Amino acid sequence: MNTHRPDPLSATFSALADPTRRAILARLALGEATVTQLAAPFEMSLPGVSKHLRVLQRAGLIEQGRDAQWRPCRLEAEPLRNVAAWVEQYRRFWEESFDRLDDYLRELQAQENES
Amino acid sequence: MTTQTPSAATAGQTIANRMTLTLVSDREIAVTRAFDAPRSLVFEACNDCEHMKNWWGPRGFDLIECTMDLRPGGKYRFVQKAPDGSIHGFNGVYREISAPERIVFTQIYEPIPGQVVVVTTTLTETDGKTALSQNLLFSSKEARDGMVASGMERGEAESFERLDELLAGLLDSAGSGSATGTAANQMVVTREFDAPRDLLWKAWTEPDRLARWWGPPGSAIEVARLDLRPGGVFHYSMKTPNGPLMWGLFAYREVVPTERIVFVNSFSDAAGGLTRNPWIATWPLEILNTLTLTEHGGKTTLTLRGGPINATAEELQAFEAGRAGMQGGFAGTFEKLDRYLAEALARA
Repeated sequence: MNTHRPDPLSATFSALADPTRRAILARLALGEATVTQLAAPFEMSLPGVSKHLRVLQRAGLIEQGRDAQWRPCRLEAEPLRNVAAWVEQYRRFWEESFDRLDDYLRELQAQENES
Repeated sequence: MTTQTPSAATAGQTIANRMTLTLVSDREIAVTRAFDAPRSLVFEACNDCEHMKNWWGPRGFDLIECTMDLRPGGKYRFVQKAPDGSIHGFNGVYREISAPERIVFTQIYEPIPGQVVVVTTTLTETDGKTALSQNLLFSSKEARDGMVASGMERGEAESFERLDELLAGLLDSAGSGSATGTAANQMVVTREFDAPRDLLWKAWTEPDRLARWWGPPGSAIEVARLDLRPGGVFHYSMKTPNGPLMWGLFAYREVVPTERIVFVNSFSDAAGGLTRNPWIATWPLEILNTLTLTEHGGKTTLTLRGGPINATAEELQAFEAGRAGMQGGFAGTFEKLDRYLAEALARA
């Protein structure tokens, strides 16, 4: 059954499924941060946060600096933008269908009123 | 829709099943409480009169009147009877609803109509447990202190204990059926149409009419089959201007004329088999949707709830990420998405 190959979007979606990881990305959207800074709002150990960071890194969603002491994390916009684009498309499917339904219903009611 | 940094920041935090109350600023109270239940169930229990009658208010208080028009701009009113027989009314307006993640409403205790409290409730789910964070913003420090002095902490804690008991009961009764875990993972769309319900029903159930609106502008639908009955299907192809020809399938499970349709929605092929989402291979193969139509004053509210069924762990993950993106934006990282959502909301 599971014959599909992993695609980049699937990897990003899987990384985004966790609320802690989404919160980390939200923090990084404000600017780069160290692991310690990222861990601060959560009651979580540094290794715990590092585990989440590794998942985000593997999905290409963040990048970690080389500087051994500081190593700030940075958001990588590209994969997130692809996901956002897909989500927008999905949402738009419903919104635009409903817009059309709205127009169609108006049209029907206008016809009814005429006859 | 706006950035939800405060809610995002609480995600992953350890919140206990005992209520905590913190005075976060001169005009604010923050309350947290965890529940051993999926988020959608907690959301439902907090925003449905039938459920609220069973828990809202401290022990011994009865919710004797409950009306709610759960949509942005919609009003609610709750009337409570205290053990001493006194009657207490509360009312307010919903400002923002992102089920099952976040809801913002105003609240007025009717004897003091000048004091409006803005209540923001955020629900985050981790491993089937839900953390509720509530922020109450008062018009002044005096109003806030007055609320604290009134014994609100004990009352609220008791109310949440009752909610806890109700959720446990609901989960027990759900467990005896065929639990699928779909409750935790649902997307909800609501929209109001300026048309009677009968007309919406026809638009959803008659092939020619469905073909007129289903799909984005410029897409052309061909209906291969529409058999509106439990076990029947709606099988159609869709051609969009720049995209390939795609097939879709609704498998009907329940049909209650003019009121409700339950159907499983999938990508499909010409033969009517199920296929993978062409963009995201891990997207759930089957999404169970419940369409509900309710009419009030000649207008009809459409609610569509969708959640994966028979899903693998990775399908559930993909759906959860999509759902979070759809309902919160990815924490406002993409202005374009947020702007679109804001416009869509303004239009709706």
